[in-house]
Amino acid sequence: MLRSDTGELAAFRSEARSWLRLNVPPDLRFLTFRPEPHLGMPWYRKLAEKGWIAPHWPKEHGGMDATAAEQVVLFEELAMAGAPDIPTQGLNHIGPLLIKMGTGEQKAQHLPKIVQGDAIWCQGYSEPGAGSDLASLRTRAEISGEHLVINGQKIWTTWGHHADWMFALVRTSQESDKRQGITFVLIDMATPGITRRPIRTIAFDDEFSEVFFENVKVPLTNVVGDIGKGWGTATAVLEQERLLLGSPAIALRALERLRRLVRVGMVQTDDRLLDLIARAEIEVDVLTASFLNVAENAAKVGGSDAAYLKILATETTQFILDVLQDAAGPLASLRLSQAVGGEKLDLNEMFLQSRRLTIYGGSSEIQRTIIANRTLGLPR
Amino acid sequence: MKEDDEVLGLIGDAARSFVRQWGGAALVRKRVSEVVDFNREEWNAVIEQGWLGVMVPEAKGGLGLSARALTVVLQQIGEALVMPPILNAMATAVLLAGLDTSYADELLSDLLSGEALILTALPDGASPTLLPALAHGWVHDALGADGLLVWDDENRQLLHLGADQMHHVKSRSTIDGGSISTVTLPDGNRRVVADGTAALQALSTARDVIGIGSAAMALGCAKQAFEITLAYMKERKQFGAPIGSFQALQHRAASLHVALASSESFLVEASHCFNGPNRSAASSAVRARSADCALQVVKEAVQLHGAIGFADEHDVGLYFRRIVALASWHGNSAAWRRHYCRSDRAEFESRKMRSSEPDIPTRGAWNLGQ
Repeated sequence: MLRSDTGELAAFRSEARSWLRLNVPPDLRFLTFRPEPHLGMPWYRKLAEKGWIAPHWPKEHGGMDATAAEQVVLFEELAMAGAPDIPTQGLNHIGPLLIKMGTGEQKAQHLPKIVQGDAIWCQGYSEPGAGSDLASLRTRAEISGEHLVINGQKIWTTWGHHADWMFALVRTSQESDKRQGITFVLIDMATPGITRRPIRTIAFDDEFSEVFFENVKVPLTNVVGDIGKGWGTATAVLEQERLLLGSPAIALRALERLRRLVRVGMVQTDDRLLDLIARAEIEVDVLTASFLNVAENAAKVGGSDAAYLKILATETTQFILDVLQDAAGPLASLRLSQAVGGEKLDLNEMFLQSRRLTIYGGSSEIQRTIIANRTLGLPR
Repeated sequence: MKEDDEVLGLIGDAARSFVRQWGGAALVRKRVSEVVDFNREEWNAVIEQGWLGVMVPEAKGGLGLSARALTVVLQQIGEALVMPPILNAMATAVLLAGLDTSYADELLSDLLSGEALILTALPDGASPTLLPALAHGWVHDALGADGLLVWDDENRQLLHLGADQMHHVKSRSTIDGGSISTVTLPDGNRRVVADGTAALQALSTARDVIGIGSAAMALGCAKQAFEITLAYMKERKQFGAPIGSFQALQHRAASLHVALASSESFLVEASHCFNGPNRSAASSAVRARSADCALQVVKEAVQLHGAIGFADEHDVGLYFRRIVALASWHGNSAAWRRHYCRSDRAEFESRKMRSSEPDIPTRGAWNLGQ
């Protein structure tokens, strides 16, 4: 962050730095992959006990009510400490959505477990025939007494094989407008009839999965919003989701990897590479400034232009990792982390993983179409 | 210093109403096609706004506002293609106010009152093959200047060239209707404004004002070129549809929006850093980012217009040429990033390149990375 820390912010930074130094488990530092639940969730719970797991949530639900600048400080310190990635579907998607749209019972049942790290969530949106064209989804849900009975398939479900719960879009009726007749529902992944199959990625991990539903019975009380109005439910906190997808958290982690590579002296920094590294640093500052500006305007005037942030955040991250690949020279393709001078160096694991950033959560192409039509007012 | 939105709103309104009278394509076209004299009336209108002292403390006759206020004015100036050397005069005022000597105060008072138009030549070296090798500084769009500050590196003195010494200035026209002037040191009558570290510190502040100010001008100008382009995309029909409905073009427009919106956010953030320890890093970084972004925008703006964009009759070319000029002011983006690398903020290489005194590169240092 370019701006200087004010007194309170400086105190928070210093507290975060010393706490993280003591508390990030050494064996989880600078991991590239999000650690599997049995390794990663203890860290999640530790952060939760400290009260820092949900900076953007309101205090009444266990969050920090943090300002945008405080969030950036936390992102920066987490990145610098090499803190491992944690699952975010609960914190960034279904949590804020339930806070806004959920019934009292739904909030009481789910929010504490998200904040405490007692439930892992996944998002059941994409289907084999409904990716970018999400409204074409075909997983069916029939109303039968007090239940929905779900049949169909979801795919590309991040951490679907680890999740305890899924928030999903299912079709409850066929309407001429494809966005009508969709229902937003919470599904306990332990319900009989659910089969999950992990999918290996080009980054060699099992980050996402296929999920099959065969006569899966879900109580109607698990519907969020109204039956048939799920599209509106899913997009109710879109602005906030875009803001979170546009946070500098991941780009800061990428920059930290580039810094470590240069710091150990493995890289010949000629003028060309120095210029690229300067650009990488500056681009992270640009992203951070954009996040702060959009978030602070949203807080001040209630509206925001967050649509560009997701593109900016993900493409900035990919750019930094391109520079890292470039800097790694002939070692760029080495598989697995390399230990050099006591430092663990990630030459390309995050680079490989980062391919997904511009695909998930609405691909960059979808985002550009949204900007063209909604922000710029270009004709459809 | 962060003034409230109301003050920024007022200064923005004043700038909008100023540029309605003094900005616009017609004046630029005139400058490109014929030799134009300095317009005293226009400069007096600038003086009346008080903008030259925007960042000068009130005690010294300025408005005592922040770098944010400066950028708000300059975004409008850039948007309307206003050409007089407002930015450089603003930077010179900040430089003079920082020196705190009676001579500097006298010059500052002359500058703010309109008595003299004093500009600062930044000692950023000259390309020996094209411009006089003996030049000691450059200044852009200096038409009308009757005073110049120039750094004598050998004697480590900041000199004031008066109206009687303007023959040391050599000007060449640029594609945007402006000019580049190179300055050589006077043989006699050396008026020393300041020397040593104090002078370098003041020059470094002026350079940072020019960095963030030229970023603001470039973004204002690019934003206007983008607006013109969007309007054209909605109106121009081919294959029976507005060209703005074609996805290939929509996505390019969206990319420009991402670049512009993020650069504008960065400008706001950088201007709030101006009085802090990251001043130089922020101004250099925002200048490099804004110039790159503005170049991308205007090149696309011409392309998206098709043949009419290449025709002189269309105004989009004026913005294109202005940005090409602005993006090269006192060095290209790589040169400004090199300056960023010298700041405390930069992680790498900075140790090697950092020195104990304020960094004003000497000759040639600004042509790196080309």
